[in-house]
Amino acid sequence: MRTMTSPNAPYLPKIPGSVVARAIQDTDFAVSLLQASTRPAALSDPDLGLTPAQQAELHTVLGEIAGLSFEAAMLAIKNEGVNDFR
Amino acid sequence: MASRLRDEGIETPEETLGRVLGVSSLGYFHVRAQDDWLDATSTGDPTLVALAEALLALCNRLLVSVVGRSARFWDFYAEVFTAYSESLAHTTEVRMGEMPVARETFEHLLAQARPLVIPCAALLDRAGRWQLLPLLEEFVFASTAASQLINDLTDLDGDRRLGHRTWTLAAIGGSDGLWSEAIDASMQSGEGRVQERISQALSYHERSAQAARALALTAADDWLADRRSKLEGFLGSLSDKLLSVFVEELATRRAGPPADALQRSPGRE
Repeated sequence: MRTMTSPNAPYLPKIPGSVVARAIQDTDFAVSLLQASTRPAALSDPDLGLTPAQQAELHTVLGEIAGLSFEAAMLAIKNEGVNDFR
Repeated sequence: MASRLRDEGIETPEETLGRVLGVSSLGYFHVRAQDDWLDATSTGDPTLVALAEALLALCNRLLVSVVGRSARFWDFYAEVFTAYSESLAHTTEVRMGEMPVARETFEHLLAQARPLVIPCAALLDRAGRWQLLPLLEEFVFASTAASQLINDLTDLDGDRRLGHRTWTLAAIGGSDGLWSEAIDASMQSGEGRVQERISQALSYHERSAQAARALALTAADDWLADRRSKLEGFLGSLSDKLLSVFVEELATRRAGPPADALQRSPGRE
């Protein structure tokens, strides 16, 4: 699968491994990270070990990644011809 | 269409059918060449204009071999290509202007798809079934409208970057927060801007299905059912893809351990 990371993508800081691992393992958690309304609660889970400052920064960063992911998902659907509407 | 005419006892010789299929293929290449020429990245390449003209001449040669000098067909042909040309010019005006792009504009610009009717119109003319032409036009119009809406949806960000104004872009406004709506709509509410666009596409699709039924185009049944299924499943496909891309992107930006869990595949479980 392609990703949207490219030389033109905006600079975004690294994501803590604990967040990445949980998002991979837990779809509901990944969905909650995607959505701005549920993201703060998801990031405040004590198991992730994030400080309030880290949570605040991640909230913004994950919003950026969500936007870029949406664009990449649309392009993937178009390029893969999944819906065959060309 | 040949199958539909056969159901009425009107046979289309294979040679004629081959010529009509040739019109479809060459006509498509003609439109592609024109489209590429008009595209911002290739404007000015005279080769594309020459190619488009040559392809159109070949189309016309094939059409003459099917319909001869039929006045009604060639009158219709002239009307279609006049509308097509006006639509091309109108597209440039819309792109460069500031007038809001509404449904009416969207439908007017779809005249660019009207040449798709030409091959089957030739068959109708040859078969003496010209009265079916309005239904055929409705079928083509509504089918292409549904396609164009989905294309405009998947091109949303690209169109915004290039300054290509579309009805979808005007209706949605921008992609801010759109991913949340897409996920929400696919999982529970079925509402939101993406869902509204898909509903519009489904509405056009239903028009095309009605026209097909009125035409007794039974050969289109499977295609129409497949298309409806894909439209209805669009949000689900989008949300699955979005989640997968999102998680993969997180993994590429991982700062450190734990790495063991990263061996697992992302996506819905």
